[in-house]
Amino acid sequence: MDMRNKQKGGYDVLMDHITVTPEMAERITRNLQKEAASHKKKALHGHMRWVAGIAACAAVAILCIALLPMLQAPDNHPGSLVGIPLPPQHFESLEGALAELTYEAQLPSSMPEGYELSGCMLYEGAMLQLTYTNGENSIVYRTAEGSNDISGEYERYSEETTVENDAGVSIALKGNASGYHSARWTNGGMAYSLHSDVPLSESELLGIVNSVQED
Amino acid sequence: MNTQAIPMPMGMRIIRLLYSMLLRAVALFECESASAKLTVCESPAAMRAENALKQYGNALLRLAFSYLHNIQDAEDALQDALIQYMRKAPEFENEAHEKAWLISVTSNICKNKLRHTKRLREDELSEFIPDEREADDLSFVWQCVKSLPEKYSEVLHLFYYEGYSTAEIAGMLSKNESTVRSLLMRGRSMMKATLEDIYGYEE
Repeated sequence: MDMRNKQKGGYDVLMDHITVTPEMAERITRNLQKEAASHKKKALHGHMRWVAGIAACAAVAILCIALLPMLQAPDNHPGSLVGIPLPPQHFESLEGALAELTYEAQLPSSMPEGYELSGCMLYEGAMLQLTYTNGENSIVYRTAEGSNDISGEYERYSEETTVENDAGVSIALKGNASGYHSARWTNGGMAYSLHSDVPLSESELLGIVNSVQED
Repeated sequence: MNTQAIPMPMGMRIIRLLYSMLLRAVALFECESASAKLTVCESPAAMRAENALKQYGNALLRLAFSYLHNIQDAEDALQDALIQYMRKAPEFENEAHEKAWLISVTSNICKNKLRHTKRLREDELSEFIPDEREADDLSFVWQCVKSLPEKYSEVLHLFYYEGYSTAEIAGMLSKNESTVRSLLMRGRSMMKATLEDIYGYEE
């Protein structure tokens, strides 16, 4: 008897027992509708702000025209009302943040001694930010799909270098004479960054970077 | 009798105009609110996700179960995938593309759960297979599949159970096709070794 056929047959039978029951479908459908309703509510909040903004702008414009005729062109920028970025989402748990992602997030499995996870955030539902603190200082880790610079690091440092780890990934390090403050790299279609309040040694920073890589 | 209207002072006209604009804005907002209440249960995004649940629910639940080994977490993963589907509202070329997207997202959600969730528990087969004898028979296969690391079991599930080609699996799991072929080969060898070691099974 062919072993694979035997396994495939048994596995098929096992999997055929796993089905979306009517109760399960009802639970999921109810939660989908709740999610759709909350999404709509958020959109309405945005719409209300938009309507109020337009009304306020119109009122200001009319007052300007009627009461202050010397102001020939009221300063009205409707463009500023659109394109408002979504506020970052804060999560109580890492699990909650990860459930929002559509990609497989690689997280650091190692941090310098004393640092614990203290905050989880999602930007635009796509960039995950984790903050680790030791009570006084913090290390911020970010990851997102793509290869953009997601570090948000605009400070100028005297030391900038690029190193390659054992997996052949290039890592850009920035810091000063006392050590490195940030690391930025891309791997497997994902962008990553780290930022530390206090300077870290190259080996400390690379220790975190290497702990992020997939097994 | 003189019925000619007395012209309204400029200030009054402005106040009246502003008041009517305010009323219009409020009316517009109320209209939107009412429309939102009506469409809560008829949201096109939710309906689209519900259709996906009907069409691909079993396949996605089974995939999630193959990673998480219990129905409750598999249901959560399926729901999370459908919520993402609703939020992202992606456009697809065809149904195959749509299913592949959902498989990819479900797979990533499961991997995230596996790596970073502590509360996962394993179901006994008897929890969802009522026939005790059948559950016993199938535990032979399940123990063998469960013992495989996820990178092998996911490829085996998609190849054998879902019938995808190695190229399609490579696309869904963001791996090279040669890597998928190698994982399939090693997964099969590992299953064979497990069967021989644990159950004394021989070809």
